[in-house]
Amino acid sequence: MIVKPGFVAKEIGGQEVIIAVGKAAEKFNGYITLNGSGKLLWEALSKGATKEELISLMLATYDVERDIASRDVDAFLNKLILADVIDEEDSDMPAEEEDE
Amino acid sequence: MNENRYEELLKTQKKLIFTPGGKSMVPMLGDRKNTVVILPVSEGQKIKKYDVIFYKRDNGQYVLHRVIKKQKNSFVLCGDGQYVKEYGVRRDMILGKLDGFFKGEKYIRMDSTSIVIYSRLRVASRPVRALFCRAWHLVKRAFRRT
Repeated sequence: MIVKPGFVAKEIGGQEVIIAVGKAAEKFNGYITLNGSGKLLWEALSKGATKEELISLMLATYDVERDIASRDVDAFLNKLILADVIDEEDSDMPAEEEDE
Repeated sequence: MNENRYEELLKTQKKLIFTPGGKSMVPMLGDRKNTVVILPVSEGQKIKKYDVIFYKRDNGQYVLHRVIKKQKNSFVLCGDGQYVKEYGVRRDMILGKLDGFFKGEKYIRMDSTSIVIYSRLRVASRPVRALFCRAWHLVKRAFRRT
């Protein structure tokens, strides 16, 4: 998962939000609100974390079962994919072998 | 956005974040170039000279302009890229106040030193800009006639 250029998180009015700036703002108008876990996931995602690493981060930070952590990460990522904030390319997936 | 959508968002979300179009606030805000953050104005909150306010004209048009003068029951406003003053903006027309804007990925607050200095210079230079623009229009008209 790769965060597209021009998306930043910022605390505004006591709430953490993802905003589009520069060219990204031409297509994305508005903001996405982040809660505590969303903020944690966004910070990791911005640094290039994979989906598996995000799940591990949730497990290390919160007292949750793996399937709940996985579901929450999926919901978070789906929201960002639908808003066109991240690219779906997942470094967890093994690279396909090319035929010679 | 639908009519009253801005009011609704300011009321429920306590903020409004969008990328305004138009050149009236150039050079501070470019046409669809800067994402702005508007916060609602509470009842007792003072609106000061140099504040950039988000308001709704009686014709339903939403505008983001700077207060250049306070009058007894209203405000005089002008866009940074304009020189014609707008009189009669009442308190009840004001929906919010510009908290800051993004320049690239950097958030510029309206109370930052650079913006405070810029705001004062911009308002102070308005009569000079007005004179220059009117002179320029006269020159252009004179050339068109010849």
